Amino acid sequence: MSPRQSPVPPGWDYNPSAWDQRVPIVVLALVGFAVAGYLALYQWDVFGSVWEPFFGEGSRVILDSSVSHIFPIPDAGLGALGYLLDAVTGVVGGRDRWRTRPWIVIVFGLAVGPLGVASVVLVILQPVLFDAFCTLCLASAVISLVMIGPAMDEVLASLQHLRSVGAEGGSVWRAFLSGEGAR
Amino acid sequence: MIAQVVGIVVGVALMAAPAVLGYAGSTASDVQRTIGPTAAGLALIAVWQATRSVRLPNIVLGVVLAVSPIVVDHQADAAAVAVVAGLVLVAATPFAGRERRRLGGGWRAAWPLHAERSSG
Repeated sequence: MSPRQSPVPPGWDYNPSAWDQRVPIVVLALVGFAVAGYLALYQWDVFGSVWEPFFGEGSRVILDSSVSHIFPIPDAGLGALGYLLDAVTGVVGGRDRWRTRPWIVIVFGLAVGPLGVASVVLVILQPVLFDAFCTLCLASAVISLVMIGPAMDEVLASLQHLRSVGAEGGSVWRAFLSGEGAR
Repeated sequence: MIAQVVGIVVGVALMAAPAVLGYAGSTASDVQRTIGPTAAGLALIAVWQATRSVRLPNIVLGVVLAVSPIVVDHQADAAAVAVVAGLVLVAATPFAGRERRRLGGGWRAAWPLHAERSSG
């Protein structure tokens, strides 16, 4: 296999798009989806109670708060959708998608990053506004933060590839959207 | 990896300290429960090599934490927590561990997208 076809990005010693790199992130996203989905079902009154092993009424206080219902659908529902987007964009594309489908890698990064930021904001709001903590909300926040690091190396490989295409006089946009110009 | 472990431990400790030491609900508690999860989150993201530099704002957060008893009212134990945690965060954050993997030049090699190819 020539360097042009190698799934390992130039200057790297591993392939960030390999399945062994992506599957753990997708599994984490699915676990996050299950946790956030469970909390959303409580917020939608499908369940009458919510599991809370450490903080007494903390989960109820947080999940029933006004902040959790700012948007048309409860915040846990938005989180579940975010995790689902992470899982789907984590699966799409082959093991050289960092250069053949940079757009999906960037969408993947954009889906993972803000979810982590939103999680930290919600973790701050829990005790500051309501003097309460919610165990599964904290677990969801940890999951979303753990996903960021391993997702960003693939984003880095795609951005390096796009820069390389641009430096060679190719169309960065075409490479971004269709993978053309892939070396 | 010292920065990451210390950042996570200090962050979680800051979240728990107001309830454990009995100053929850105070302004000092709000400061620590804002900086705590932020510091822990940044340290957790920085565990991976591609995002290692994300830990660096923890130096600023450590300084803010250490001087917070001067700026807002703190009871004695809250002030002690703030100063110790802040100084530990500042001292530990530069030590992120060795970079073992090659990432093609890192983020400097990824931006700007329209840069000229350098010779060699």
